[in-house]
Amino acid sequence: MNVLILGAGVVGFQLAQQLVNEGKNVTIIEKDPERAKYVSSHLDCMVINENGTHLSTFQEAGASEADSFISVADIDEVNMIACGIVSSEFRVPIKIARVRNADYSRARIFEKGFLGIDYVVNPEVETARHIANTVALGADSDVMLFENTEIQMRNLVVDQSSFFANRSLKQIRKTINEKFLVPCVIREDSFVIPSGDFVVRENDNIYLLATRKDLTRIFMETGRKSERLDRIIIAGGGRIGSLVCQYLIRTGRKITIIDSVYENCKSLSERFPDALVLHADVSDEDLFEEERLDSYDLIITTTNNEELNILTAVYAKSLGVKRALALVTKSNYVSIASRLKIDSIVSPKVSTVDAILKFLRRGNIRSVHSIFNGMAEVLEFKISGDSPVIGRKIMDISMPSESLILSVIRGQEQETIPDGNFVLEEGDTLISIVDKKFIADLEKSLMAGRL
Amino acid sequence: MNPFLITKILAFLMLIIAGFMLLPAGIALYNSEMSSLFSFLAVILFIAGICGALLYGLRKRRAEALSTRDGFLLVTASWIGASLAGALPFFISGAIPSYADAFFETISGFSTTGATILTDVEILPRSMLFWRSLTHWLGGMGIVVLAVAVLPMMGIGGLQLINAESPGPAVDRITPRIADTAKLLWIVYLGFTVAQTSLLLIAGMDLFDALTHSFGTVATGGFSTMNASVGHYNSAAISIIITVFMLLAGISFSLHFRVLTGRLDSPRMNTELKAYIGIFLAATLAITIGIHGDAYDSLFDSAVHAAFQAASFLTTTGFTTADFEKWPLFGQGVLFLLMFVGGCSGSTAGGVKVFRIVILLKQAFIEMLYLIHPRGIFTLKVSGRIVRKDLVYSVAGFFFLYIFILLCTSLVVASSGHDLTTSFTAALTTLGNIGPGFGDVGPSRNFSILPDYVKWFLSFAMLVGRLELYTVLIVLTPEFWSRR
Repeated sequence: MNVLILGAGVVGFQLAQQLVNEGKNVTIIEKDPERAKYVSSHLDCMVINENGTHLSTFQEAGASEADSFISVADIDEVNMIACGIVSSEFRVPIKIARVRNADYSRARIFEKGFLGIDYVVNPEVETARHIANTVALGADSDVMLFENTEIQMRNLVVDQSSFFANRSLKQIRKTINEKFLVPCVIREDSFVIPSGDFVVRENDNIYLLATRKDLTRIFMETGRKSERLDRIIIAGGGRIGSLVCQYLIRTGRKITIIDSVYENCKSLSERFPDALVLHADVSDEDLFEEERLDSYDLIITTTNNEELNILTAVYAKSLGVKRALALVTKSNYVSIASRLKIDSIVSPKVSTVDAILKFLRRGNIRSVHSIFNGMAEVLEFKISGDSPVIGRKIMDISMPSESLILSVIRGQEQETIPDGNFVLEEGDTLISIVDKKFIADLEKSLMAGRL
Repeated sequence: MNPFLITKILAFLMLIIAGFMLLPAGIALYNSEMSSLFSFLAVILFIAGICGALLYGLRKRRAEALSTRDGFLLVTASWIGASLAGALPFFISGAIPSYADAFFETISGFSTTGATILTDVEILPRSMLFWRSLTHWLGGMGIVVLAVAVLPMMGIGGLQLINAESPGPAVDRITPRIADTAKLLWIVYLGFTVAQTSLLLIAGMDLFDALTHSFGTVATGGFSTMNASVGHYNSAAISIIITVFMLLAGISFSLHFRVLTGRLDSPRMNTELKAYIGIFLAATLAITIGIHGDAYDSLFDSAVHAAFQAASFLTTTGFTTADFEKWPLFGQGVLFLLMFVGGCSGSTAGGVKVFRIVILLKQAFIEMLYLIHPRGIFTLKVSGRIVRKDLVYSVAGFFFLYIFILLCTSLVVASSGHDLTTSFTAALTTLGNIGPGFGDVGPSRNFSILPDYVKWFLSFAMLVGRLELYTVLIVLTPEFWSRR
């Protein structure tokens, strides 16, 4: 499969990296020579150092043979026009544009095939939705949701005093009654699929898979109280902050938004009469005391400055705010932030990449979640009628070693965590985890040969 | 630094080399050359034993990504390893009794130089001659490129390796995946070899000669199986076929791929190619004028010899059809200048490369424009594309380093008591991977007269030249090994 990407920014690079690891042929168009050089020396893909809206550039990049075109340049208009050029000059089946401006992305024109764009991804909307979902579930961990099921996946960073520390998975299983799985652990920036003898250590980032109720119970049993998150601070009233406010204020929560730009505050107060809008710098030392911010349940830091997001979240927690959620994009910061006990970390980059990947793989694949900067993916997919695995036991299916079937959903909310003797049927939905290198292999072994 | 992965890939590479040794072993069996057969089999078993044990021992080590530094070290190590092992059959069978000589001959083969220490080539067993030419063929497109094409899962590491090995500033990708690019380049290379072999068969060579000379040509190597090189056949048809293929091998193989698959509208846009053909035509014309009526009577003979020799020196092949040292001095002078040029980037040729010469000349011209128009803004363009300043700097740095190493090498040769012409051209011909020089290392003589320490140093110069200076030299710097 040939994928053509316009723009090698943070999202373009991450997307290319995940697709290259899956074995797809990726070509990137990037106009900045320095960035182009960086990408071509870090990814096994072709990099064309040209401006993205020239017809000749697309020809050179092999648009005539591309199966999908993803435009993630910095400017919305460039992305839309690029899709327009590609769809009028070449026969590329899938065209995806990143459009930040909500006035555009909400417009109905895209549903009618405007400029040939098949899918519009709005990173701010994706991120804000992700944040709203996380808050709805208690904001005590990163949450991965799947369609049509109560099963969820959440993570947990193990600290010294944690229940999980220095116990093997077998021991943990004996003490916890609920059904759950530990499909993967991130230890020292590498990804492990653990066995029963695996001993959890301090600073491990462990992922748990179970139904929503069981997960909440497990979190409670292991010493994490679930909090009612009624009073929320949103630090940073930019696009993401205001969208998060819009989603959360509908649920009747009390919201306080802090922004340092007066004009932003003004328009926020016009849009959200029920919210308290503060014109202040979040790093101002008097602010927390004056406004009694320490008594809040949750702080969501959504400024454009990642370092400030992390620091503010940590600071607020140290003062007594019960939960903290921070917006962090750089992957090396993600691991630091989770060690600093920020409860949940949302990355606009990962949300955008996941949304694009989900659209690219649409069809049998229902949802895609990248774990730890794309090191592994959790995929949800449906067994179609022509799949080779129908009627076979799980233990008889040849799957790549670095992958695991976590759960099978059959019919309405009948989910099971299967053993090797489980026989798959048509229409089952599988949730599986797979190392980045073997995604294509897994797709091949579980789906029919039409990929 | 990633020692386990480096060892692992190195072991794979050596196994590939050992695999290719089966071919001359087969020829030894066919011609019942028992001592050669024995030495090839011994070396194959030796390599397979060591590498097999290493791979078995390291099989459970998880492969991490190869860093840029690892790439330089791995490429340098694999070329030295291949030459050390490749020299063993010559040495064990007694075909070349001294190991220094055997190593010189092998690295001259892998680096596609074609400089020899053999006074009488024709007494060598057939299998040894075949192995000698096969080293050219393997070194031409590059053993590491072959490994990247064949070994799966190299990913971005493969790019580091190919960049460290391939001639020219950077590898020209023709597919998104570097392994596919490597595969296609080898396929084009193989195609040229097959085409030339068939043409030489039609022109009257036997299969063995056609194959070995094709290896020498497409790799721009220059080992012949005859003492008089291509001059032995005394056939205009053979000379012309080899001239054409030498010229083709001196052109970027990714350009060949684009033209062959119709992906390029017009190769005429390529500045480097235009300059390359221009240099060849001008040199041929100059030599023809110089030697016509003196060395040769007929204009056709003069032109064929002039074109052959010009192509041979320009592409750094080093085949000869005549003893050009008996030519008038003007013709020799042109050949001497061609030794500084080399082929195009991305080809199998050595030398400075036309691309760098073009950039330096254009930059020199722009400097003049700046003097005329102090407020002017001028852009350096090659093939219609803007050349960035850092590339010009790196080319200038490369050229200076090339000349510097050349002078140092000349000094080492001169220290053994040889005259200036011999010393300088011996250095130039080894560093540029050409083959014959002038004076005591001229076309009718060879490198056997040099003492061992000079042979070792020239072997090093050939390796440095083939890997485009930096790959080998940076491994020798303390900075490379420091943990900073």
